[in-house]
Amino acid sequence: MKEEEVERLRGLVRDCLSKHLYSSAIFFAEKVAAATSDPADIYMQAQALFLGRQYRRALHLLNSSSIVLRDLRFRYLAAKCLEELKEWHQCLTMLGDAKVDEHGNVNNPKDCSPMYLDKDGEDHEINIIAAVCYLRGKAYEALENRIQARLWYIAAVKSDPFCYEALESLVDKYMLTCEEESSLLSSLQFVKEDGWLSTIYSCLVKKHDKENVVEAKLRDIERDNPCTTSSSPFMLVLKDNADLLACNAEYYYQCGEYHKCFEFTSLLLTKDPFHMKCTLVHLAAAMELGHSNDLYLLACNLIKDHPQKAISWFAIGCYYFSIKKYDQARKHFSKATSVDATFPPAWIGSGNAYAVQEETDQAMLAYRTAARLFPGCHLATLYIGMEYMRTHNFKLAEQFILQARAICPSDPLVYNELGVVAYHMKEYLKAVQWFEMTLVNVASSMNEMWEPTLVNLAHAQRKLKMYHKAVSSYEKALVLSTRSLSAFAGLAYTYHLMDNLDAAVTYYHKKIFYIKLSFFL
Amino acid sequence: MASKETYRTELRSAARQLGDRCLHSAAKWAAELLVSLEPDPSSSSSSTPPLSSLSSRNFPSASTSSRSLSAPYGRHFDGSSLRRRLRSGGSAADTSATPVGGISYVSTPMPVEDGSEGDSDVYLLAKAYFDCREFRRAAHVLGKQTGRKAVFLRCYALYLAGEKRKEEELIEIEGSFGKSEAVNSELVSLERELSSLRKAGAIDSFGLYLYGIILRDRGCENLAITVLVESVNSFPWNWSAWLELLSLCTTTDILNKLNLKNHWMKDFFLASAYQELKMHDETLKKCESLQAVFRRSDHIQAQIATALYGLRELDEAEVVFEEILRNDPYRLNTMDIYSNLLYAKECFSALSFLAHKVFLTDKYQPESCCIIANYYSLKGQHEKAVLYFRRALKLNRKYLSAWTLMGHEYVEMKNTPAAIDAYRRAVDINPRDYRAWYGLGQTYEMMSMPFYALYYFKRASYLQPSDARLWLAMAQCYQSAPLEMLEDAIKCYTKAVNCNEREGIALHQLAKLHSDLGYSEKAAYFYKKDLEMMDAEERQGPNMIEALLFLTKYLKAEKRFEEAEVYCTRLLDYSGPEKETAMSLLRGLRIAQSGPPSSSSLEQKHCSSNTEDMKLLAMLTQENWDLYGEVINS
Repeated sequence: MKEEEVERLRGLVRDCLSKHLYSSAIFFAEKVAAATSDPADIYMQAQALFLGRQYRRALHLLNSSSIVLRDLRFRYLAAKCLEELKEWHQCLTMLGDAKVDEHGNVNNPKDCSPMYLDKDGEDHEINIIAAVCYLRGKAYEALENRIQARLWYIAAVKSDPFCYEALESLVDKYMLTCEEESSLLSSLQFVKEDGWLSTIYSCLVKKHDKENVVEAKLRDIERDNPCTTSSSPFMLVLKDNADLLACNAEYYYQCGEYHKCFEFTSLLLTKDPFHMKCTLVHLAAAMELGHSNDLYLLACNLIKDHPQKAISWFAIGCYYFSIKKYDQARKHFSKATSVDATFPPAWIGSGNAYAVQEETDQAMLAYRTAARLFPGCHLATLYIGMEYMRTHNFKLAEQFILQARAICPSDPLVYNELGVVAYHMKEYLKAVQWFEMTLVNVASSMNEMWEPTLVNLAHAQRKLKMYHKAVSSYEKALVLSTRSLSAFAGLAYTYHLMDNLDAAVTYYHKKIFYIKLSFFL
Repeated sequence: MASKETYRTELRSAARQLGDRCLHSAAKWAAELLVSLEPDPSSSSSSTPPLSSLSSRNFPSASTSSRSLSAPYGRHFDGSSLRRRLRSGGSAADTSATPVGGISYVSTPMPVEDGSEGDSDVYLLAKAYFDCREFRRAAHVLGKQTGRKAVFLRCYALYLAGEKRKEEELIEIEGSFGKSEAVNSELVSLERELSSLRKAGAIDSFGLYLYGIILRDRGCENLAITVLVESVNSFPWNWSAWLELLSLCTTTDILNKLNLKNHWMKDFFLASAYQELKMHDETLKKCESLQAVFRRSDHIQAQIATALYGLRELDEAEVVFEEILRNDPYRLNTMDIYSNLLYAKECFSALSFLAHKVFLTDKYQPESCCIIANYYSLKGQHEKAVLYFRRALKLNRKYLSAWTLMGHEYVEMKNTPAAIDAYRRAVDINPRDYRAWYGLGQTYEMMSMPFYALYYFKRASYLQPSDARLWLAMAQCYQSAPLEMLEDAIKCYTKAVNCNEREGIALHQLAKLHSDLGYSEKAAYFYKKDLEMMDAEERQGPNMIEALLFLTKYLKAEKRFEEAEVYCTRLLDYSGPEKETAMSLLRGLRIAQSGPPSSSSLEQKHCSSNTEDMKLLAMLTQENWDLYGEVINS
């Protein structure tokens, strides 16, 4: 075949691939490769085979072409084939035995420099090393070697910040604690024009900060826009980006502003009904708000569209949980975990469904699994602590909750629980401190969610005989929730202790009134 | 040609006037329409853009409505082509009425508020009483006023007071569903007063509207129509008046004879009227042209969806309904039709969602009750469904579809007397409800009273001649045991086939009946058609086998062996006795095909007894032997 003929065929193969006509691509690629036996053409043929889902054949082709070990790209493609074939050990062997240290720095002197086969020049290329690292991470994850997986994911992000998949794995599967996340982000090296990416990444990581990162960033962008014209317009476009908005919604969820969160996600889902992350937040918010009807429709649609995804089963579980059919909820949560064991919410949900029915052992089992699988997810550890607390095992409870605090030091819930433990252990001074820290950490304006904390604080203050302070705390709690029985009781008792019998009687009466009311309702 | 601004000023003032006269639902309607007008793209240009530029492309802001337009028809053609089709289909007669191209709308002057009435303070008080539903007090306060507005409100208040009393009496005497003789005691005196006012020419359009209602209640329908037409001609923005007129237009003749001024509100009226008269295509056309101006009107959208539902375009209707619900999530009006649609499609999850939602929105509305009843019906809880239908009817005794659907529920529960009663109420309210007639027919058929059933089926199919299900029911009635009037059955089945009956029952029955009656040629024709249809829809089943078997035998008898062989080979694909029959038939065909042999040679062939042949022959049944005989004889 003549050279121009070959060149024409190459173009044809590329076109077939872009049009997803894989069989034609394979057919012509084979002809080209046979004509030239150029490594680049063999690579193209293997690529076509891979895309045509003929992994074994692609692997065989690469192996038999004998250059596979010389070039990193060949090895990567071969490893990709092995990944699809789920032969993880082989895959790792194929990728070579590079080492990674605990900060995710790769040291591999042997790696030969890749020969750039089809360099397009113009396009930004993802560093092949990053791709290799990511694949290693995936293989280790599949082999349940989470420590190695985590390191390799970190290595992938470090070698190329554009390797979003690795970051996504790290964040979504809770592989890092808050601290590690921020240190990873700060260690990433961005070129100046890519500043927007760093902004987005910082929005993506967990949202326990006091300030709303996303909104702050967006505000910054808007403010900075007139002066720095180089990169900002792009960022401005991203203002309505679904990912960012989902992050924003998640933030609101974390601070307990469920209505706002629900509004956000509903809006987003009308625009992009299949945005999975947003769907997840939407589910969680709907559950907190008790919108069981929305949950029902969403779950029905999800299971219709994606019966293979864990989130669909999780959604059904949420629906049953919200209508208090915990048996059914458990069944569906565990179905979700069996579909995808690396789906954190399902484990937590399953644990919660057990915990509601006071089946501590089962609940602990679920939480422990979650804690093991997702070391960055402080909720699992926290819930273990809470379970211990229910079984009056306060020492252990405290240990676990402290561990949770180490993972995520900015979640106010952790401090509240610590306070409760201290209260139970009769360390009232400590309890007061913890409760006060809770209130400091509450990000947004106070809402009903934090009423128990205030009541707890007041109880502790009462125990310390700081009656006036206690009264003011109780009153603050009553501002947040006018029907708080324990606040009324506490208030009455405090006045009682202060020998202010008139006030005590008034509040005792109020409490009785509400008890009766709830009795009749 | 009216620009959007004109529409807007008209509607704005109309809504105010209607609200001032306590015609709340009409005011609501006008206000909704007012909001549905999109702001002009450039407020500076007062002239309305020409027709072509109204297409959604030129309006960036109109993208939502254009989506809503193209989506429902998206399956077949994109929106613009539809619009074109409708335009061209609308022909010259129609274009004069389209608002966009419309040249010939009459502009009706907005009646001037007679603000000079010195008694406006008293009017204010009366209106406040009225709004608190203290009708008699309101009427009393206005007793001495003579202004038109005051007279209207006084009469209206009296009318409503009478109605309220009537309702109470109904319940006191007969229970909530009784048929009683209770009448509105105010009607006579009100009629006298209003008629004298009308003669004196001292009555405005609102008074005429009230007079029309009273006449209708008194049973003078022709005069009521005249009066209502007068009313809408002088004040066209009162949708309630149009609705009353609509309920009086029971046939196309009456509709065509109406002497209406060509105001744009007439188009809204016509769209609804066509809907009532089951002329759904015309409705769609009207809505299409109206939507060019009132882009975001939920009313028009709902009309479109209802028309599509009436045309049994369920998927497209569903898309439109979803859109409506997205824009107006707490809407109840016409949502009962959506629930019917979901019921027909058996969309369980969507219906459940809707039912739960309306339950929280307002569970004591007839529409909500109807939706919830549909939900229970789909769940198979017919008692609960009936309970909710009854509640819907308690809230609105003239709620047509609830009566019909309740009848269906009673049929499911095998409670025929109750079902008949419910259906009869439905046809009393609206004799054009073919579903109720059909239900009556079905119920009588269940009670094995076929002549009754036939009568009602005939009424139903007269109203809805394009619905194949009705013809099928009728045909089955003719065909079944006591009647066995097969010729009539054939006629009905033919009608059903002409209506594009989709399930293939009619074709099959036609073929079968013809073959039973011995018209094998016609039977073959219908079997062939049935077969083609089943092939097209990739259906299998006993009907297929029957058709193939008949065709083979028939064609063989006709000596069209090659064709027969084609059908026979297809029969071989089936397992069971059919296969063996087919094999023997095929063998017979082969023999027959190889030239009609003399019987002796055949005998010899048999004697030579190829083992293969013997095996086959052993399998043949007696019937097949007979067939063999036929072949040999032929």
